[in-house]
Amino acid sequence: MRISLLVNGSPLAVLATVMRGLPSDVKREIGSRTRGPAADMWRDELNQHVETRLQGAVARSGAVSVTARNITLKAGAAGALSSGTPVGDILYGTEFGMRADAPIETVSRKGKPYKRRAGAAFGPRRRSGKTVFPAAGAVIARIASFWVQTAYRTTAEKIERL
Amino acid sequence: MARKPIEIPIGVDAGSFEKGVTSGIIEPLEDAKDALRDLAEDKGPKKLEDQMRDAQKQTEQLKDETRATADAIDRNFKSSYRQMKASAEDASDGANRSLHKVSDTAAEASGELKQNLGETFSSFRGDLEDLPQIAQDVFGGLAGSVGGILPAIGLAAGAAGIGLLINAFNEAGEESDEFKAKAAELAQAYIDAGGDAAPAIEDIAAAIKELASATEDGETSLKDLRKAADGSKSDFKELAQAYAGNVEGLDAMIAAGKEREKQLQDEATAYDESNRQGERHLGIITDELDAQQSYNAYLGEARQLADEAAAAERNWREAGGEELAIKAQLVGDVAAAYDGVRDAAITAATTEEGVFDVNRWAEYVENTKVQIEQYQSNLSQLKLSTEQWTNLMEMPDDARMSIVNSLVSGPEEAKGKIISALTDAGSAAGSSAQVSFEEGFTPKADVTVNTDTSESEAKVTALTQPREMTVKVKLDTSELDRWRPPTREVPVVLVVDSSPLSRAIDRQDGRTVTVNVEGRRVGAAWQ
Repeated sequence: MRISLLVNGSPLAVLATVMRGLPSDVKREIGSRTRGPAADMWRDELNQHVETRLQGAVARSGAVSVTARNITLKAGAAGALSSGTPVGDILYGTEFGMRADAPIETVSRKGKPYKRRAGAAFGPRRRSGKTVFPAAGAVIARIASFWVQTAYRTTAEKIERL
Repeated sequence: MARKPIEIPIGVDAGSFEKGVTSGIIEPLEDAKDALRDLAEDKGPKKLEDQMRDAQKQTEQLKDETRATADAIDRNFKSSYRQMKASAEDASDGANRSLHKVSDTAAEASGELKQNLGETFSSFRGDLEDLPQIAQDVFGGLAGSVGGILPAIGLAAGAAGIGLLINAFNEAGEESDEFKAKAAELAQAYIDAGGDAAPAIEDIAAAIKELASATEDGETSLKDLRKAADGSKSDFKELAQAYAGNVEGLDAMIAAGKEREKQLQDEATAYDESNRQGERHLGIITDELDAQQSYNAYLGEARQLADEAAAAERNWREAGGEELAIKAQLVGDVAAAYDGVRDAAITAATTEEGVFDVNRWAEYVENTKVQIEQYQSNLSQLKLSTEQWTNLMEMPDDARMSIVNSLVSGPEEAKGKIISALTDAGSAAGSSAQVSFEEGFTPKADVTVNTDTSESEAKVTALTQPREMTVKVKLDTSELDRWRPPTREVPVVLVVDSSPLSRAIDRQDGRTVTVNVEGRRVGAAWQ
C-alpha cells in the first residue's frame, strides 16, 4: 500500500534526493501547493468507501499533512458525531469492525459498571480495514504522483531551470 | 477514551532514507534532477501513477527486506553519530584552550572597564548622542576581542541606563504605536475640554486607571513608573499623574529630575575606589542613576505627549473642526425638521370643522420642504466664525432658519446687521455680509495648558454630598370628581350568518324528533 524509498528506482527516492538540495522557501511552496489538492483527493477517496453513517463520520474527519519529506494521510483526529462523541472514540471500531458479542465496558446511569454487547453497531471484523485503509491503498499512488509533479512544476517556476 | 487517529505516511522509510543519505550509506542519485524531469515531464501523470503503483507493489513484496534495510540504516546512523561525537571529544583539548583564552580576555576587559568607567562618566553629558562614544571609550579595542558587538551593547546599557537606551531607540526610530495611541487619547481629552483648558480631571483619572491595568509587554504600566520613581527616590504620585496627562508643574518636575540626574552623575564621577570612606558604593549610585534616567525619560515622554495633544487640538480647531461639528449638528436638525413638517401639515390641513383636506396637506408639505431644502443649501454656503456659529446655534429653530435665509439671500445692509448681531460684543464685528472663516477666525498663537483641579474637585465634592428632599403635592380633585362620562348612543348593526342554522333546520324539517326525558327522584318527591 505504501511506497518505500529503498526499493530500486523508487520515484519517491528521486523526489527525496531532489528535495534535499532545494532552498527551504521552494520546499515550503511545494508543500503548500500539494496540501489542498491532496486533501481533496484523500477525502474524495474516503467518501467512496463509506457504507454506514459511522464510516461517513470517519470519512469527514479526513485530513492531510505535508512535510518536505513525507505526506501523511490522517483520519479520526477531529470531528464528532451529532451526539457529541468524538470521532476518535468510534474510529477503530468503525474501521476494523467488532464482533457482535464483544463486551464494551459501560457505566450505568446510577453509576454501576457493567458490560454490554457491541451488537451490530460496527459490523463484522475486517483486519484490512473498511474505510480508511482501503481508501489509502487506492489513493496513495495518485497523491504521490501528484506530489512529484507539483514539486517539479514548482521548482521549474521558482528557479526557472532545474 | 479517544485513541490516536489513524495516520498513514505515504513514504514508508522517508526518515531512514534521509539518514542514510546524510550518513553516506546511501549514494544519492547523481542525476536526480534529470530523473525528476523524466518522472514529471516526460512520462506524464498517468505513467507516473502507474510507476507509483509498481513501487507500491514492490514495497509490498519486499516488505521484510526494506524494513531490514531501514533498520540497518538507523543503526548505522547511530554508530556513525557516536563516532562523530568521539572525534569531537578528541578535539576537546583545543577547545579548552580557546575557552581559557576567552576568560583571560574577559578579565582583562573588566579591569580596563573599571578604569574607563570613571573617565567616561566625567565626559558623559547625559546626551543620547554620546552613547556610541561611551561604548567606544569603555571598551576601547576590547569590544572586538570579547567577541562581537552584543556584549558591548549590554554593558553600555548598564552604564548609561536602560531607560536612556530605550529612549534613544524611540527617538532614533519612529514613535511607537503605544505612544501614538496615547497622544491621540490625550488630544481627544483636550478637544473635549474645549479650547485652552487642560484635560479634565476625569480624563486623568481614567488614564491612571488604564496605566494600572496595563499588562502587555512594551506597554508602560504603573508598575514601571513605580519602579523608576522608587529607584530614583522621587515622587511616584507626581510621575503617575504627569504621565497620565496632568501638565501642572510638569516643567518644574522635568527641571528637578535633570538636576538630580546631574548630581548623581557628578557623584559617580567623583567616586574613588581607593578611598571610599563614607561614600556610597558605586553600584548603588549607578542603580539610582539608572532609575533617575528612566524617571526623566518618562517625564520627557509625558511632556511630548502633552505637546502633541495640544498641537492636535490646535490643529483640530484651526482646521475648522469646531465649525464642522456645529454645521453637522445644524444639518442634523434639518432631518428632524422634516418630521416636524409632516405633523404641522396635518394641523394646517385640517379645517375648523375637523375635515382633513388631503390636497392642502400635500401642498403644505411641498412648500415647507422647499423652504427646508433652501435652508439646508444656505447652511452649506454660509461662512461664519466659530463664535458666530456658536451664537447662531443657540437661537431657537424658527429664528435660526430665517436668519440663515436672510444671510444668504437678503439685502446687503441687513446682512451686516445680522452678522454684527451674531458677533459677541467686544470682538471685532464683521460688517461685511459674509465673513469668511479664514478672516473671522483668529487662532491663538500658543496654547498654554493649565489644570487647576481644586475647583472641579470642590464641585465634585459638593455634587456628591447626600441630599434629602421632600416634595409636597396638593391636588385639586373637585373638577375631576364632578366629571361624569357623557351618555352615548351607539347604533349597532348585528350581522349574523344564519345559513348553517337554516341548513340544520332544513335537515330536520319533516322529521320526527324523539326526545327521551327521564325523570329521577332526587331527595324530594317527584314533581
